[in-house]
Amino acid sequence: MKQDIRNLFKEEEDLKTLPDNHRAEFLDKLNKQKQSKNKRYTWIGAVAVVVVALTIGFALFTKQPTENISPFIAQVEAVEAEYLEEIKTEWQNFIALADDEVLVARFKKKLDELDNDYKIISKQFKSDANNIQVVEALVENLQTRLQILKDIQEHIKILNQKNEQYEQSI
Amino acid sequence: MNNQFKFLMLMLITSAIGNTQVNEIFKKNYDTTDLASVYLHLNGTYVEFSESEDDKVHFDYTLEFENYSKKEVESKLNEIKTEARIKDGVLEFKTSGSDAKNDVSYSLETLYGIEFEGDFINFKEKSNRVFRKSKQYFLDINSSSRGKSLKEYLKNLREVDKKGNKKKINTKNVKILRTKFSIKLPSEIKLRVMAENSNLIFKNDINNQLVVNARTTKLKFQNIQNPFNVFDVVNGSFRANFLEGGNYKFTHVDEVQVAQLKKVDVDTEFSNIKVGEIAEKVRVVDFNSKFWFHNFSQNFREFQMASDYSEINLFFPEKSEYFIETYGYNTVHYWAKLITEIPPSRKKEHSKMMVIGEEDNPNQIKIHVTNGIIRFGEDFIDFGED
Repeated sequence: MKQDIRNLFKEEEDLKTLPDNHRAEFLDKLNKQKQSKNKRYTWIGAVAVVVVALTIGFALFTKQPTENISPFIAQVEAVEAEYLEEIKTEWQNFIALADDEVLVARFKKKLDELDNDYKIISKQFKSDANNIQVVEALVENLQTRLQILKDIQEHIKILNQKNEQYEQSI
Repeated sequence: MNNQFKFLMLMLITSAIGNTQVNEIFKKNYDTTDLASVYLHLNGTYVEFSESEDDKVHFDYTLEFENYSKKEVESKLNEIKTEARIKDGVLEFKTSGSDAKNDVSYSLETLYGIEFEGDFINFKEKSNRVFRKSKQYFLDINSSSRGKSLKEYLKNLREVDKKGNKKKINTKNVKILRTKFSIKLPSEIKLRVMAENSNLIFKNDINNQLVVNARTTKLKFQNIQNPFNVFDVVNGSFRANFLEGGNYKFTHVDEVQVAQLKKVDVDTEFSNIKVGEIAEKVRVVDFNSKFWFHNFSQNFREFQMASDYSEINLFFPEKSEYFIETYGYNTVHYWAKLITEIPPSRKKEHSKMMVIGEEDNPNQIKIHVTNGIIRFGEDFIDFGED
């Protein structure tokens, strides 16, 4: 059943989080999905292909058929859903790990800003679904959120690891 | 229809016309006798800036369409808006609608989709060891910027036909949009730029005052020198050879690469910053960014940094004696095999972590880190310790 991922933004706690090295992971997924016969994953792969191409400056524009929902829009929405799910998971991991309220608040603010940007881009996508640059902007926004959440968790883990060693030594 | 979902994009090969159309968008020049400054609003465009040779401001904006139908060209041109006016000694220019972020943009319309093959998916694995890079390395990056040719772009892309068979993409089906937008400015005129979703390349050094607000924009400069410069960059990227004077704010800029910093105040947040050389009096305040400081000039005098949740990678100065003092709170230092940790304290005060050199040395590095990670290195920095 098709899922409207934009609904996931309705609640603040639904800020979603996805994997580290966004782009690399995204493309890794693509690689894995390449072998998969799962239809949803092949959509993601197809969009990832587009994103990669755009990353190197190659813009692709498609014309949608007059059928119900274009496969391309479905592909993009599937990618969004996948990313948002991962972002959500990473956000939960982050707030569980961080014991600094100021840090959490700052990240919350940052993610809210990115979410606002996302809503603007999402509107552009609705009005111009053939523009791959808009798709790229959507994916980059999601990747950015995922990356900052991954990075800060890695950072905190290093600090916590050293502090534990210090406590053990005294 | 399964093929539609198998690494494919829709492919609709339109009846492309195999010729090139050149369209002038805006071509005018303005005498600067009564002009105090130029104010540019640039949205979705690619611009090359250079120095004017006749004390006039020149705008020369053309688009070249290759393999576009007449209708498509008209549609594209209708989206582009430009206007210019002079008011109170300020030449104000606005443009939007092009959406060309490079000098050459390629578009492909397909019926059954494309498939990606090749190395673009295979990213280099992160190295555990990073070597010191010279200032020249960063200068070279800025001087080599030419993009790939169409052939290179298409190398790893395959068109899929109705039966799902892959074949090489016919270049005749690729639409090419070349943006030639040149703005020439007299050297003494003040410049203010508001840019969004654009790509701006400054080919000459700029010594006059420059105020830049950029969002999701690629910025590339040569040498910028003015104590009153103000930059506020959000998203996008920033490259420059030499920055002297002014205030620079980078928020979530994934790529900030500068060959040399001198007498600047830098405020960063959620960014990645690489600096070839720190020269005199550089101050950095940061939240949650990653830094690489590769070298220090012979008399860098003073480098100050205060950061929270930052990752700092710093190669020790080679060209002169120096004094380093670091203070930390909940912070880890790595220096070769030596690890120093300052855990969180009840009083939440910073503690002295490291001191190298004589305190009266004029070349001083002072770093205050909260919740941070600092790695020091001579010739290289390892990451394996994490």
